[in-house]
This record gives sequence, structure tokens and C-alpha cells, in this order.
Amino acid sequence: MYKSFEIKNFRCFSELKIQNFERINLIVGKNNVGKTALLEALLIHSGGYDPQMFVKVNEPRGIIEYIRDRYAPSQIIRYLLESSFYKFNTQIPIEMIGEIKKGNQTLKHKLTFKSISDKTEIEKLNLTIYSQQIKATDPLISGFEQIFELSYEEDGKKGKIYLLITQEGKTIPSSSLPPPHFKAVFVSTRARSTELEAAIFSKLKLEDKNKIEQVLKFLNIIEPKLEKIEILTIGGVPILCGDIGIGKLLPLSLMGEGISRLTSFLLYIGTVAGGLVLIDEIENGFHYSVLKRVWEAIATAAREFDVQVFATTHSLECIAAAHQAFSKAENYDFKLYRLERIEGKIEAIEYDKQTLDSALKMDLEVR
Amino acid sequence: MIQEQEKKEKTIEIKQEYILIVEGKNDELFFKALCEKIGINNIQIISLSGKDNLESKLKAIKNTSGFPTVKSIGIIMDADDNPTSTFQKIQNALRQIGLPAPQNPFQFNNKGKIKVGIAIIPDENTTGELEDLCIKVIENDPAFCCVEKYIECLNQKGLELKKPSKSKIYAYLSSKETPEIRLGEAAQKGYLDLDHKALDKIKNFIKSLLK
Repeated sequence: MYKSFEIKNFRCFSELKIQNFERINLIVGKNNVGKTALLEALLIHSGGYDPQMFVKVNEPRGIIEYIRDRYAPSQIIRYLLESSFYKFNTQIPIEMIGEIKKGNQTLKHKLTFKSISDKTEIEKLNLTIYSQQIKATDPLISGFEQIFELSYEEDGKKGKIYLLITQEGKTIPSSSLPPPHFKAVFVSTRARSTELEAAIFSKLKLEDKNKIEQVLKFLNIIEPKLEKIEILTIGGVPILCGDIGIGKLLPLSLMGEGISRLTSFLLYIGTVAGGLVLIDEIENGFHYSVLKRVWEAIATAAREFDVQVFATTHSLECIAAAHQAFSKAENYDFKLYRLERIEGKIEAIEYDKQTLDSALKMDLEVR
Repeated sequence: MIQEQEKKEKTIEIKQEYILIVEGKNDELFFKALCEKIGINNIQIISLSGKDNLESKLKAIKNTSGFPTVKSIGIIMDADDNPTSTFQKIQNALRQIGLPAPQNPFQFNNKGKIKVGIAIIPDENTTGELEDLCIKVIENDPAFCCVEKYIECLNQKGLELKKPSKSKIYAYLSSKETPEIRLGEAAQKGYLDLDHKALDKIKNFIKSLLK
């Protein structure tokens, strides 16, 4: 679980530090203050040591589709990597520092990502590519367009991984990557893949059949009639279907956006047990009257699977529903943060239980 | 339910550099009228919806979007049964949330980026509330002797008044064109002489917010 997180020179953030995270963290703020960028930074950081995360993280935003037709593949990759830097300035390294609580220990994990353009620096580099030690200037790799360096630092342990961008637009890390500290998943607002959800469902069921029972129990919080979930292959596509006692299995998507979206949240929570779930625009698809129960389901599942959740929202109803749900729970393991541009710089404003309670009672704008 | 939802959509953001924090909706209307009377229209008045949880309410205001542009804050509170302890409670709450606190009532701190002042009503040495201050405004009004007689009569009949100043004010206001009005609205409707010298001290406090 993250306790704090610090970002420098990433996307719209010149410098941002957020502290006192809880199990469930809700991020609000006006457009273009970096709510999604914060989730992306957490996703990259939780990847631990993988420089390719700086490219992968763009997938949910649909940027790749947008520029695919206009640029050469290598330009696209360069664009994606450069867009990660504050004001596209690759001269100033991106830094991400997370304080992660693991059991009784707190671990500090720092990532620094920068572009290497200095020729003499490139000449000095020794790279391990396809298990071979070679110089960056070796004719074998003269086709590389650009090199980025990801260095990591945690409790005295240090390391560097280079990311080579080929002229064909491929990204190759210089060495095999250590496994990340924990699993993380980003749930975007864009259309979900039924196949992916079916795959996650299958994986979870293979791991532990009881986990599916647990997910079902949490889903019953908003759909009490749901007795069973199964995968049916319809037109060659595996689809999650539910039994609500009408004699036929019904695709979850036909039960409504709310139930299918909550199902995917819960499946993701089950899949990344011990890890991180990042949800963009969490309120999408839910009627305000079920929001409190949605939060109850997410919170119960997150506690059960020891998952930390970071979500964004624009909805006041969603914030109020979360406050109500967590106030009722045994433990108020929830925190609201608003990102706000103050004198040109984005800062995070933290709302604890009492402050949020007062703000909502006084009708003060918290979003 | 729909009305409830619509009401919730109207949220308060900080839009002015000068803010006046008052106890409740009634005070908000009263001080709005008073500000208008002295030609001030760039102070935003925020109601705390009650005196409880003062610290978290002040923090909620401090957290509200737009707060970093605030230059000065005035807090006006009823003395209730102890003006000194009311002042100290506000002082402590301000310090707890990292805002500067003035040394004395009706003064502003003069250090730091933001100016903060606390006013106690009727004043820093007297117990009571906004109604007590307003009694001074109306006590020379011809209708007020009727109010006194009415209250005296109630006393003679052994009816004990829990909040005599409130009883007096509302007995007085019942003689007006709209008799069921609250104090804040009465000030807005011009039922109270807002030029009265009894209000000078609080007016000066509000004016010094802008200095």
C-alpha cells in the first residue's frame, strides 16, 4: 500500500507530493489538473522497474490510435515518451518516489527517467541485449533512434535499465526486468473488452474458485438477484453472463452499465490481490441512488483482497456517497484529494473525515 | 428528492479576496445587509451552519477552491455565555489549522500572508448574541416600549423566558409589515436602522477587513 507519492516533471506536474493515503483514495479536481496523470504515474511506479510503462500507460487514453496515421512508428514512440515529460522537456528527468507499506515495513522506491542524447554518454553505455553484452555504439544497434534511462533506488539497492527505441518504433529494454512489487491495473473510461473480462474471470476462477464466490457476494450488494456468473461463448466471443433467476443466463452488459462496470472493478480487485486498482471516472454508469452501495462493495472487496484503490470522479454525488458509505463502515479507510492549480503549480488538497463532513454540510465545493 | 439534489448542486466556491465567516444563515443575511449599507460589495460571507466542529469547518473553508487568493478573513461569532472563551476557541481553531490568529478581539493579526480578525457580539466584554446587539438598535423605537411591557407581563405571569433578547426582537418584528420574518431578513427589508451607532464597532471591524 502506498503511504505517500511524489512526482516531479511528469506530464502536467512540475512537482507534486501527496501524503497519508488510505486504502481507498478518491481524486477530484477541475479538468486538466492531472487526475488521470496521477493514476498513470502510480501505474508506472507500481511497475517497479519497467521503462516500457511510459509507453504502455498511454494506451487507455487512446493517444496511440489518434496519432497512428500521422507519424512513423518510431516518431509515435518518441512522441509518447516525450509527452511524459513536463512541458515535453526531456532535459529534466522525471522522478517518482513512493513510500510503500509492506507489512510492518515501509519501503521507499524512487524511479528516475531521462532521455540520453549526449553522444559521449551513449558511447560509454554497456547494454545487455538479448543476453549479450554490447556497447551502445556497436554497429549492431546503430539503428537506434533514441535511448532513455530508467534508474531505480530502493533502500540502498540501485539499478539502471535502458530503453532503446528502434527505427521501426519498437522499444527494447536493456536487461531483463525484476518483478514489480505488486500487481496493478488501470480501469479506463473507454470501452471495456468483454474478452479481457472473461479472461480475468477465468484466471481468478482457476486461481481459487472461492474468489468468484466472494466477487458474487459483493455484486449482490447492488444486485441481490444475481445467483451465479458464468462465461458463455456467443458468436465466438467469450462473454460474462449472470443468472438472475429468469431461467436464462443474461449477459452482464444487458443487466445494465452499472452491474457490468462494478463486476469488472471487482474482478480486477480480485485479480491484483495485494496490489493496486486505478479507476478513472469511477461514477460512470451508476445511478446516484446505488453509488453508496457501489462504494460499499468496492471497499469490502478491497479490504478482503488487500487491494489499494485510487479512483477519480467529477461527481459530487459520488463523493457524498463515499463519505456516507465509509462513515457507516467500521473503519473510515477513505481519503479525498483535490488537485488544484495554485499560482500555476498543481497541488493536492487533502480532506480527512471531519473536514469532508463539514465541507459537505456547509455546501462548500470540494470538487 | 429532486429538490434535495438540485440544492446540493449549488455549492460554494471562494470568489472574493475578503471573506467574512458567520455562524448561520440568519447572520449571513444580516451582515450582507450591513455590508450593503456601508457600500461594501466585495466581501464574501460564508455561514458555518452552527458553532459545532469549528476547527473542521474552518479547515473545510481553507480547503475550498479559491482560498489561496484570500487576503483577509473576518470571523464574527456570538459571545453566548462567555465572550472570552468564545474568542479563545476561535483562536485555537485557527492555530490548529495553520492560520494566523489575532491577539485580541476586534483586531487583526499583522504578520503573515493572510490577515485574520475575530469579532465577538454583542462585544468582547458582554455575554449574548446578535439579537442583543440589535436590541440596542431598536430600544429607542416607540414600538419597543410595547415590547418591554409585553415581556414584563410575561414575567409577572411567571413565564420564564429562555432567550429574552430573542423574544424581544421577535416581539418587536411582529409589529412589522411582514410579521413572521427572521432577523437577517428584517435587516434586509430595512426594518432595523442599520445606521445606528450601536453597529459602528462591528461596521468598523468589517471595514478594516479591506484595509
